[in-house]
Amino acid sequence: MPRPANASRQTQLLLNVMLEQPLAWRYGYELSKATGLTSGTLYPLLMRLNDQGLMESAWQEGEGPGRPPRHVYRLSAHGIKLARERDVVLAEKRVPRRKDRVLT
Amino acid sequence: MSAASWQRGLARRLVRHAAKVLRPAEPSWSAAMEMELEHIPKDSQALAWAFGCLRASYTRRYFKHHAAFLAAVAVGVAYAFADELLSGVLAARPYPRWYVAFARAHKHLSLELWFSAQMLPSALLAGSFGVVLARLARGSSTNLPLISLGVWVLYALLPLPGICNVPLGGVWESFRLWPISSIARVVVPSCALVFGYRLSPASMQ
Repeated sequence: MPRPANASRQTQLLLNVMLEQPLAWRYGYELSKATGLTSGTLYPLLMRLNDQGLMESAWQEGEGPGRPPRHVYRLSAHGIKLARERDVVLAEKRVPRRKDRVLT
Repeated sequence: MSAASWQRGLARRLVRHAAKVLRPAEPSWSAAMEMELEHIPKDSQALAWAFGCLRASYTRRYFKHHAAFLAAVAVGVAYAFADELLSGVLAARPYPRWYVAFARAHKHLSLELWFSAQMLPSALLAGSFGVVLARLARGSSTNLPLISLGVWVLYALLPLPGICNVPLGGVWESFRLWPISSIARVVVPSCALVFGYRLSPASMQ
């Protein structure tokens, strides 16, 4: 059975981080720090999600004089939907913590 | 020149090269990499970022659609060498006593039996390579183990000087003289590799 698209741990990590602020534009370096992914992993993921229409990208003016513009990213409506679905699936798969088990 | 500026300079050169590699395929993303570098405060982090950009550019430009195919070819080549090694090790070992006794009793079958007995370790080896392929290619296509097997068969059929000294005619001769074991020699490891690939947890995720 072929593996479903965007099921890797790294993609899931990126989707979760972007889902924290779904409408905010995020920088590549900022996403790298938030996810712990190196640029060698992050950029191919961003490009793939962009190709699949799950993410939007834009250019933003640099902050301050002499600063170059930056490429910014955020999830598209499809991306937000997918990230939420995956988050629900992951939550269902997660083993309940000991405290939760005692309470139930 | 201080260590810090040396790192920043190298990072800029690397990212410039990464952008040049990526530009024909993804002009917007190549510019994004170059610009982002200037917003990274620490020089050491900028250098690490630049190395990552270099990897991302080459991966995107040259291996985007070919990674799984290359993995299948690499597994096929690796399996061919491992199988050759295993056959050599098995051939160098003395025949077990039970086999000698059995072969004396069934002289017309002895070589066929010996070749067939070699199938089990070869099948285990092929199965493990199937699992490796599933992990490398992440189960992207069921054709991938067939590519690996194609490479293995090609290796077996090509009389490469210095690697293989069996002429092509010798292969057909062995099929004519020992049909059962010769067919089993191809079919059993092939099935094992495909099963290893299909049954691997990596291909079922």
